[in-house]
Amino acid sequence: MNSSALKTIAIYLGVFGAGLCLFVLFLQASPSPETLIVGEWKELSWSYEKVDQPASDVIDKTISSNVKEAIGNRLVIHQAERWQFFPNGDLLLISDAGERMVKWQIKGRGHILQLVYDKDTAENYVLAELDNGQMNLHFETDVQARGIAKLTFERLN
Amino acid sequence: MLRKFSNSRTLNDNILLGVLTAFVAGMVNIGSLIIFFSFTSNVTGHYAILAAEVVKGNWYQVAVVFGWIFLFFFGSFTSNLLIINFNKKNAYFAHAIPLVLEIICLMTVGIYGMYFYRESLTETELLMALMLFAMGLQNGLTASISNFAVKTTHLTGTTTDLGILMSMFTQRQFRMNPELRGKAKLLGSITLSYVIGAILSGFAYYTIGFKMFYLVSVVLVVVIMYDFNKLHIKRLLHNPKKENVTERAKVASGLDSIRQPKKKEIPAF
Repeated sequence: MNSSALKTIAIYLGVFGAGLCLFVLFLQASPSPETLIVGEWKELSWSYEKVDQPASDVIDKTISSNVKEAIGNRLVIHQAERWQFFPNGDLLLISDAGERMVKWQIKGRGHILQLVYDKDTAENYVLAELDNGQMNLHFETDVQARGIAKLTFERLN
Repeated sequence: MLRKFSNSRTLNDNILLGVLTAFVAGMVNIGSLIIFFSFTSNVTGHYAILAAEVVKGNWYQVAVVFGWIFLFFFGSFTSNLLIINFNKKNAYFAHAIPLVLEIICLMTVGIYGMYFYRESLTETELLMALMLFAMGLQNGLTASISNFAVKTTHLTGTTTDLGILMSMFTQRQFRMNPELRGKAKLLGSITLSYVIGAILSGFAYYTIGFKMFYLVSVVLVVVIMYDFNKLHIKRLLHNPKKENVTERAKVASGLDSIRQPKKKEIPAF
């Protein structure tokens, strides 16, 4: 093998190595969403992130309690005020009315929260924001006004 | 389909290769979207997501998307590296190896998905990575051996070219041009095949789950075996007594295509 070939190989290995280092650096810079989500979260508010047309109920983008009730009726998260994520994939939904255990998974690049209950019923939420203090979930709704609903949570522990 | 290289390929060679590989890409892409909520056969969106995640400071996601984009690139790199290093020694082998690697990747996804997948994020990211590498291999192969005429894992360029061609066909001089008509036929076939693959993938996943990746692999085996069987049978029919091991080796290596008189066909472009 001549020196030119060796030089080419060295350049390629250098570039790929630099890419690998960058990848590891990014990976270490913040924890996986699967780790970050574990803990107890308190529901703060329901609002519209995006809405097709501003109906009287959604002018300030806050979802009123009766619309929240209508939207939530079709979802497993209905009435849950506190969400407790366990590392084994269990999620305890706690409300005044009682508790319900469902399964949670994170899909995609860490941007989809999937809740599975009654064996094979799944609900998908976009994990729009997740950090040590706050979590925002988005999902599409067509109750009252068609748009994207946003649930905001704060971490309890 | 796989033996010929660059300008020696006919339009029909490219259409056949394009249709089968676009079908595979459509199935894989929609399969990954349904199962893993992300695309695997096109990376334009991933570049946009990478930029968005950088802005948000989500470095874990930046790493994941960066890794996926790199693996698509590395698949294409590997494909062409194999082709340029082995093409002169054995064209058929050089062109088939990327597809064999692609089958290994997709079968791994299918088998892992069926027997071991616990739906964790790390597993999802790794299976996605394998699929992106497989699609990079496929796109690198088809583009490389067809002189960039056949690209089947994404339809942005194809749709753009089809739009341009359709506008050109409003004038008779272009409408009558056999090369442009051939190109439109090729691009139209790729698009249609991709969409059919994508639709079937949706039905297949809900019916057979991860086994759909076995189905995809079967299509790729057809691509690999097509030339070999076609020439092997033709040779047997024409001269059954002279069929021997040496001849089979020539068929496999693609050398006989050089000796055969060329049929008058519309060349690929």
